[in-house]
Amino acid sequence: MSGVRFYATHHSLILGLILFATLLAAVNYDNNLVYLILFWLLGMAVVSAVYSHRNMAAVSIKPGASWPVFAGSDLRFTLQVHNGSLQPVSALAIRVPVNGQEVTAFLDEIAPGDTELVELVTPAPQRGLYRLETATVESEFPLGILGVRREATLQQPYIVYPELKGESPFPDIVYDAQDQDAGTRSGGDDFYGVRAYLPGEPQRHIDWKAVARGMPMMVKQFTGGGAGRLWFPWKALDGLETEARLSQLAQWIVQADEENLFYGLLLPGQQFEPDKGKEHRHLLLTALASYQRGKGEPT
Amino acid sequence: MKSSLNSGVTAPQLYRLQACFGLGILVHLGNVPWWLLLAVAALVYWRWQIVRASVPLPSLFTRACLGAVLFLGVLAEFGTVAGRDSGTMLMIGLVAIKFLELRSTRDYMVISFVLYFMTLIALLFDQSIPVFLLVLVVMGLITANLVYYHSARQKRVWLPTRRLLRLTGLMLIQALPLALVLFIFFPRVQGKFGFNLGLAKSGLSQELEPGSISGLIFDDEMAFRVEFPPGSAKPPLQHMYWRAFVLWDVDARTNRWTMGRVRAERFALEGGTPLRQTITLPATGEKWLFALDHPTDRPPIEPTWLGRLRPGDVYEANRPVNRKMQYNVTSLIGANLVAVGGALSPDISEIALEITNRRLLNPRVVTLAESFQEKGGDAAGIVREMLSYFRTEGFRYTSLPGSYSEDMLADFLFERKTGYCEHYATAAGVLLRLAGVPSRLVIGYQGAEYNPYGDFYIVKQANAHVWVEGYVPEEGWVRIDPTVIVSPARIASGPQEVREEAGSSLTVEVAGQPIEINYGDWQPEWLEALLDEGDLRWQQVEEVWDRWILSYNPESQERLLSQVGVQRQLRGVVFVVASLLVAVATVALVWWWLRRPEKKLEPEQELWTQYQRLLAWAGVPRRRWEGPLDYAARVAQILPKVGESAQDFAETYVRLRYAPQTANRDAALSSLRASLEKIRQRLEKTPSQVEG
Repeated sequence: MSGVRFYATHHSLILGLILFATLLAAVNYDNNLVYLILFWLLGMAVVSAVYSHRNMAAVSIKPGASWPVFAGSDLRFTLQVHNGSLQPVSALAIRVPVNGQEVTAFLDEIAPGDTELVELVTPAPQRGLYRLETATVESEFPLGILGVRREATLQQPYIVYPELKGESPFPDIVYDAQDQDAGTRSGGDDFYGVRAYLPGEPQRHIDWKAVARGMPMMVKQFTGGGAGRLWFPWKALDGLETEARLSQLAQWIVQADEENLFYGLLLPGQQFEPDKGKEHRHLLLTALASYQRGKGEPT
Repeated sequence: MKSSLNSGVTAPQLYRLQACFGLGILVHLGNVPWWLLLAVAALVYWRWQIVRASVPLPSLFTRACLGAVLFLGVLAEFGTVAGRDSGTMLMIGLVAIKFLELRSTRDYMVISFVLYFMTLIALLFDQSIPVFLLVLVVMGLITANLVYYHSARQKRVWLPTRRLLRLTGLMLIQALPLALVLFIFFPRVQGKFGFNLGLAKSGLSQELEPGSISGLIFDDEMAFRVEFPPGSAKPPLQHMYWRAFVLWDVDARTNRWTMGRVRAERFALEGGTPLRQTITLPATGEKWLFALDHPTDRPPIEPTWLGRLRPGDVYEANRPVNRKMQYNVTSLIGANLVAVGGALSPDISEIALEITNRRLLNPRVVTLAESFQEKGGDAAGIVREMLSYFRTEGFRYTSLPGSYSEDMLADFLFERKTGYCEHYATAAGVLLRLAGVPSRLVIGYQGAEYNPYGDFYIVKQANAHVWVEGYVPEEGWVRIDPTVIVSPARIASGPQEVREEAGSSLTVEVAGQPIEINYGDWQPEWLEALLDEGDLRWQQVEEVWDRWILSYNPESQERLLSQVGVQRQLRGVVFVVASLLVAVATVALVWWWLRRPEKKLEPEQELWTQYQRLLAWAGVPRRRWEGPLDYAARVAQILPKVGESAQDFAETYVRLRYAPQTANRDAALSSLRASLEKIRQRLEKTPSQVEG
């Protein structure tokens, strides 16, 4: 978090005008009580500056979560706002620049020591791999004449998949002659036994219920594969623009995932073996999103 | 500059602001005409309906029309839009119209700040303590509303939480030292007389007719306050005659006395003992300055720029007194006011004997005067005769003499024979003039009330009095107060008795016969004593208030600064330095105040903090994402000596903090402390060495 910076709001001008008018009245009518009230208001403005500062002094922003979305829909992400002081913090506005625009969220109050989650929603930019660079937190507490601002570096990554578009049916399934005999190709969904978990393996198939019972970690094994593997090749989409190709590939991936099929991806320079599951889907979609884009392009 | 956060105003916020507006108007209740209040109420209601019934806001054109109507109304009422009263009216109306425009945060803030101004200008009308306190309360509430607006945008709650109210109160208190320093040191402009406040003038009026003075008998407002130097010989209350101004001209047709224009009068004060008075005069809007009979200009009034001694031996201010003033004046008690050269100058003499429309006087009055002249002989004798007439002819003194007919003089002198001091004085004045004795009327006050708590005297409007001065050769202008003759009690004990009398009987005419009906304005004795006591105490409070706050003026400031040893030229520098010092001190104090720990941490959390601090000092600070166990593991790697104790601590801490219940909290806590202690010892024995 950067340090606390002050800025004067428009309203301070208005108060200044009022105080000046009060001074005129006090001098003109030679009225001591008006002098007293004038100076009291001035004093309060000074004191409120301290309160403004203290309000913001222990506030920090940490990255939250972001969910990958498809281009054309809304990007949702959260930020954690933490109040490290022993007093409640009031009236925060959090601003995050996303894709050239600024998204704002408001927090009324954070209890001492608490962390609040702020959700921000904004239309997603074009496909790609991005990062939220900074977030600014502002407050005009308590009187609205003085604002305080702090900046936090986020470096929170988020991904925008290509837009889903395309009506073509799946390309032909490639049957793998090699595996058809074994019948015990792993990767299907017929359960046939457990074996010990080897460290480093994906944790998808761990029998967690057994672990909760106190057993060591075991991996469930499935069979039923060999039904054929779907390949989504780049070359199959000759005649389409790059973006259209990517959109169609994304559409196929989503459909294949819904139908619980095995699918793989062939991109120029990249190959993804057929597999299935949420992680696989994300991996492939991310590859599509980042195709010919520099990694970590800032928003 | 950044644009403001959020926009849009919720209904509760609007209602609260309207409530603040209502309070602000409350402070001005006596200052604005009723039709304005009605109009404002209508506009407020309209705005309320806009929210409730989702009616659209009126257009700019509508608002402009309303504004024009307001302007015309103010012009019609006051004839101007500048000045205190008209300005206040205008402001209140404009705020009400502005409410119809209220949409965004900026509007809300503008209205709030203008409400500040609207409330505090009530102090231009009335500087008494109750009004000041009310203004303070309202300003505090406006501030609290502002604070709440900037802290709870989303909530649709009506009243601010106690925490926010407390915060506002704290801010106000913390702002006070700076306010006081600024108040004391801010260089004051020399506005000596003050500006015309458009005061409603009360008290004495420049003309005298029956009813002028008696109308004041129930007015308990302070006319002025007097202090005498300690140890001075003060005259008894019945001899305290306070001069205000002199009336020279009388018109027999209306029986009215007026000031006339006497340009110069050469006289000298002979004899008498000097007595200095310090008089605090509220803003009267008039030029007269009160002093005991007879004020002198050797030594002159202090401050000297205030005024001069004028014909008739009265002090007159150079400009109307629009500000509460304090001045010192010296009077010669018991002196004689003798014309230089022994006799009155012909001009004065002529004026002092003239009666306009003399022929309209009732012949009986003229005859009476002539009888005095015959029997008395010289001026002194005439006066004696007249006074004995009043004494022996059954005259009575009352504040409610009933209404007199056109021919008041004759009626009073021969038929009714009851009257208040103005009747006696006007009659005596005319009689003396008719008898050839130059006379004039003096208006002022008689008597006073002593306040033992503050050792000062208060002269109230009820003490208003008028008496006569007749010129007797060799003695000069002699005070002739018929009231003394007729009602010694009035002079001796003040207007109380006459008041009681006035309140307790009523004369009614039934079938030609006057019947007196007595009704009591009875108060239990203890209540009366209590009220008197309260009155005295309150006077004392007001005196302190006046002295320290209201009367603080350029002279007071100079005095204060010179006492501290600062020259006048350095005023500005002192102001800046003092303000900066106190501003910095205020900021520092508030900062410290806000650091105060409010919430007590759980004991295990305190130990955890100490644990972290200790290990950080040893060179292994905890990384933010590290849990207690991981942290302890890392510590064990880097600082093997304390590894075991650190891990013990971490395990116990995790158990205490995150497990649902811990059977034996105390044992766990003491184990935590023990581990911490071991770590401390180990670390102290070996210098910290961070490897890797």
